[in-house]
Amino acid sequence: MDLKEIERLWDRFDRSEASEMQIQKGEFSFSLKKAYVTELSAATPPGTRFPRPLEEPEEEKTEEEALPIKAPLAGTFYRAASPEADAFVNAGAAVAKGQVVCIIEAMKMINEIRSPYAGIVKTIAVNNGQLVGLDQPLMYLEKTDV
Amino acid sequence: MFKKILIANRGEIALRILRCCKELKIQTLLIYSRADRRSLPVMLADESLCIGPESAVDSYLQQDLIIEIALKTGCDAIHPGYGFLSENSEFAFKCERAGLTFIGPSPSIIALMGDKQAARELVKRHGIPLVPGSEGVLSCAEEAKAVAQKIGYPVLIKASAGGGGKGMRAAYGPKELEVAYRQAVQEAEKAFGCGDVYLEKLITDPRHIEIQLAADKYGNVIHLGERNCSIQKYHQKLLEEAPAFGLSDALCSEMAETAVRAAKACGYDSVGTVEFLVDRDDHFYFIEMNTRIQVEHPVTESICGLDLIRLQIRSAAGKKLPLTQEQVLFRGHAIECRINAKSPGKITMLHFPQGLGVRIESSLYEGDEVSPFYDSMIAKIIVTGESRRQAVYRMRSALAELVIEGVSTNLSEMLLLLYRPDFVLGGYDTSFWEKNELFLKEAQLSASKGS
Repeated sequence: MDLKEIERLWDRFDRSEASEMQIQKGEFSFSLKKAYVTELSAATPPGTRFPRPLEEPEEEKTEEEALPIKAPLAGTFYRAASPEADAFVNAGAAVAKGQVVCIIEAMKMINEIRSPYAGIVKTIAVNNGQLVGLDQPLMYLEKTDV
Repeated sequence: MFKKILIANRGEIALRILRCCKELKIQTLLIYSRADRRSLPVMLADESLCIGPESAVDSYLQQDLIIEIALKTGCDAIHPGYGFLSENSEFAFKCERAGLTFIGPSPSIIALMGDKQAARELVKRHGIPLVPGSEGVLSCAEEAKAVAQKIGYPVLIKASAGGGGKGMRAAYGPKELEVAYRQAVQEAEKAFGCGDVYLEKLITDPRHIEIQLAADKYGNVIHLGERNCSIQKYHQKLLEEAPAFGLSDALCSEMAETAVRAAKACGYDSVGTVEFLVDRDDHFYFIEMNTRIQVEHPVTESICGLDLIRLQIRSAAGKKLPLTQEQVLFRGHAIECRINAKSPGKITMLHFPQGLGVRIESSLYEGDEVSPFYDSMIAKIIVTGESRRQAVYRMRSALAELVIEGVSTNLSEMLLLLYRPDFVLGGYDTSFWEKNELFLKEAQLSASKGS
């Protein structure tokens, strides 16, 4: 099969209603598929993601009564004062009320985030360097009465 | 084409942009305020981030923070929608410097056309008719009086940085002008931080006609026909239709050609609108150019079958216009009604009209909260018919079907408006609301008594 013949077939196929074409001639095989078919079938269905309003996280109490420390502003979350410094807190650490637990950088300003309660850090909910939104829980504390 | 767009807006326009991005396979990041955390656009965006508390100044208008977030999340463009930062040239310049594309015209064009006086001077040089008025900014009330004397009363004082009717005052004589001048300056200072005002002849009862334009970065500009936006309540549009019924084809094409000329004069390179006033003798005057997508854009989309947001994104990405003027075809008649909330509250029941030729643009859902912090528009109902008559009938049945409970709205006023003789005849002008207000109020009152 020469190039001219392939071109002719290609043109015919393009104008036709068919979405796929395969030709086998001895050793030679040739197949064509229309672009929109590839595109449409390649797209993964998003699933039945019917949107629902986000449930208010405020009453989201786990069995241990973990308390969230929420971001008071949007920005980048950092666990330490500088890349070389140690993290302000790690999971399991005891934290006093008013102690700096992390920083949020926004518009070249460093904002120290202080714990509103005394407690023990249960989990840190965001990764170092991650962008956080206003009110987003940063970490959860197990409240102590100290 | 862009990979990821940050949407710096809320409500129906955020949703409109989101849907378009999905079709174009562009990722979306939506920024939102605390008041909008449970809104439909937040649920539908690929990613979303709460950037601040309720007030727009602390959230949707946080220029530097928005740019910082766009850069950190790998966005390559920002879509400002309408309102908020959409016509803020300072923000557009900041985006440009940060290496982000502001989806709209080039920043210098926003700056030029946003300065009403500079825009007037530019289009005047290109022979575009202007309402007679002062040459530039007024220095004092005495100067205003002298200009008014020359062009004749009544006159209108307008803020140079104005919009939405703010800093605008009419005067029918010299005494009134003195007061109007003072009030306009004060209001302009308060609203825009700039007290520059100018003066124009007041065209009594004009029609407000605007031409939709689409342009690209290669000097191509096409028009997508006109819209009649004459039904306004205190300078806020309530109902728009296309084409403009009762205006001759010759007049409309002349206005369209003039608008294209104005756009070419400033090197316009996005979608935008040129607004004209048309007086009783069918003379038209350039008022201003809107360098953003407009609320009423679906009316035009409905009669020309084009997606204006898509065109806007494509142009910003440096693509050529996909069609020529000759390829733009119009069909049918479209009307849009704006439904505004008159009080905040929770939507307890919601039913939107449906069916052939009915389109809804709204982010409302049952259980949604209408917050008091932003614009009161909660839904746009757009109908398309083969003829204006069919479109009017269709809008009447659509609005009759609409149910929004939990907040009070302007629905009954809008429905009654569709039965007013001057609306039905189609030749109405901007005095429509004033002339019909009493009737609409009374009818609404008796309707509420009846139920």
